[in-house]
Amino acid sequence: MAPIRNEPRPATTPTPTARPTPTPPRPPAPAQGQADRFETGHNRVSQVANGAKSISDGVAATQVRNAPGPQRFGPWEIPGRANAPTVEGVNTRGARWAGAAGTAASVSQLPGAAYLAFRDTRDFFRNPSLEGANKAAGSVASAASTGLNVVKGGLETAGNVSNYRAAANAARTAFTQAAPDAARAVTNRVVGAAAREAVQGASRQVVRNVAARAAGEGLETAGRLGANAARTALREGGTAAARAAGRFAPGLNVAIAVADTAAAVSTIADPNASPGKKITAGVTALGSIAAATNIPVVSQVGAAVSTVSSFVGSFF
Amino acid sequence: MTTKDEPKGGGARSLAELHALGIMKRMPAAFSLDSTEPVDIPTVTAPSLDGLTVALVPPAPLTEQDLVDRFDALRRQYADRRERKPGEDVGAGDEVLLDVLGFANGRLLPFSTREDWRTYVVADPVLPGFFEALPGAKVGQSFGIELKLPDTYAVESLRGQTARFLLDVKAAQELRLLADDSPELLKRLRMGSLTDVMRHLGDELARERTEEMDRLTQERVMDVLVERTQVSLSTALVNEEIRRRWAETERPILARKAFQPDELQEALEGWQKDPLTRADAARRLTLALALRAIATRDGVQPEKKATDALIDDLAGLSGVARKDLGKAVKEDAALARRLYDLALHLATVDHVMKKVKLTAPAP
Repeated sequence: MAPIRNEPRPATTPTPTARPTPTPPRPPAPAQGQADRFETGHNRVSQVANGAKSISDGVAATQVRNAPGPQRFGPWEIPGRANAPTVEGVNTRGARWAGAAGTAASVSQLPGAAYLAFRDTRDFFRNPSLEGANKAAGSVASAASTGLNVVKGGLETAGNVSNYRAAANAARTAFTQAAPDAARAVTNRVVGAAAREAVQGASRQVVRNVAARAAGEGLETAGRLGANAARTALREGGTAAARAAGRFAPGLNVAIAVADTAAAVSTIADPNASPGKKITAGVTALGSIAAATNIPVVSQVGAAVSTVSSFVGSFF
Repeated sequence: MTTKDEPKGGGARSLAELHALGIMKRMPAAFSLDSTEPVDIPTVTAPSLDGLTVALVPPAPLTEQDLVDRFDALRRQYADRRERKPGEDVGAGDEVLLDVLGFANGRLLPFSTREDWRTYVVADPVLPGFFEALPGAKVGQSFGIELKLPDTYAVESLRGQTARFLLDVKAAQELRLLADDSPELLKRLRMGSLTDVMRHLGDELARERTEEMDRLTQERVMDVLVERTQVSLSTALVNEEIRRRWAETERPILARKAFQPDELQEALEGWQKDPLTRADAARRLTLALALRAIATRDGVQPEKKATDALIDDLAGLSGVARKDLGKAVKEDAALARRLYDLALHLATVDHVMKKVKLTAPAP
């Protein structure tokens, strides 16, 4: 696969369709038909997106060369971006760092912002050769496996929970072991000594707690456990496994919880979101993280209206 | 050109309207709000709780590195920060705000979509090359990264595959970390001496490890319930469950990115065809049905004390005062039902946990 490079734009003459004063690329407004009730809780994000556009405008004023012509991305011309303004290759620093780290990343700076909203740009990223863009048979995960074949169809047909658990744990372990927090090269001696002393005390606490549980002391209630977990996730962006799932891997059963949490964080932080939307986000995150309660399909056959009304009346 | 519609509508419809109606009838699942195919929710017999014995899941050992990592997280949190200007280069160690789409094998990578993702520009062996590529990216502009997924990548079918990521670098902050034993750092942390800080972090980690042990142990108990539950879930039900989760989380982001219907369908299928996601959905469905059946059989109802605590926690998490929470719940029947479902589910889990005999972790 040829790497993506932001090669210097070749000197070209403007095409006949060139506009005299090109502007930076802007995202098209989403089609009206795509707006739905799921959209309404994300006003803040839209505002952020609008902010990005403003930033883009500012960047464009300083970074974009107002030279119309085909926009090139590596050896390819991005379809539909002809005559858009472009910039010089500015990615050399990142590429050098990546190279020094022994990685195979290729990078390219795009001129302007919000390219994620362009269909043609997305198609280009699907397959920059523009050949066989839709030829990949099946889905990314279904054609082969996730390395977790033991669960493939097993739980649905045979209630094979232990296989599911083994697979989920294997995926989680692989990621948590491979993705430690950024390790520092040097630890101050004073910090190291303080950490050594503190870890002994903390370990003793954990051992005592294990012994207490085994001796018959009950666990915390499910609600409180879930609330604590949700609080940690909302505060820190999740556990190590959740952070790992943030690195784009499907197949981790925490991935949906991560998505729920991200959506909840966004809604809760939105000053324009109604209390109802914030509470719904909280219920979703808490349910998703706490005990897999977020089951909308099953909720269709939930308790009678009178039961729910009575419940609400007794607490509020 | 117009043509007559069925008698009930009464009026003539344009060709364009009829075309639109035809599209709606063929509307892919990704574009539909409600179920697109009949979904039967099976009834189950409540599983027995007799002889429920589960070994504790041992907590992961605590290490000095865990504490140093936690300390470093604090150092980043309390570092001197400078907002980078639009057009300025991202630097190594920065905290960045990203929107991301990932592609591999000619398709959107499931679970790759991120919006307003805050992360640090620090190398990560899970995704070699991704964070290394970010320094030099321009704040406020889009950016492309192509890399080969490592041989250790969790998804076997993607190992060694080329993945491409399209990013918007929406913001970046330069961090200047204070020295480990800097008096200024200790002053900002407001926890006393460095020894005090480490003890505090150690206590915090010990509590989190214990909670993690409890949570994982509870998960194992739920696994036993699922194993004891005889139920056959249709493919349509699992598909619908995943579709609803996707519709609540990823679809709004993709819609804001002006994804077309075929792209939305592709994204949905990425979730629905992922084996572990399917297995997870099946487990959650089975568990929810089992717990509901247990609640019915044993007459479980949310307890006042636990529900009060839950509501307080929810108010805290949501940043909404309890009074306003009550008002919102009374005005929104769907929200009231979700809150009741959550409270009942947790009450039933507690009911089950009281019947369990926990044993020491296996050596």
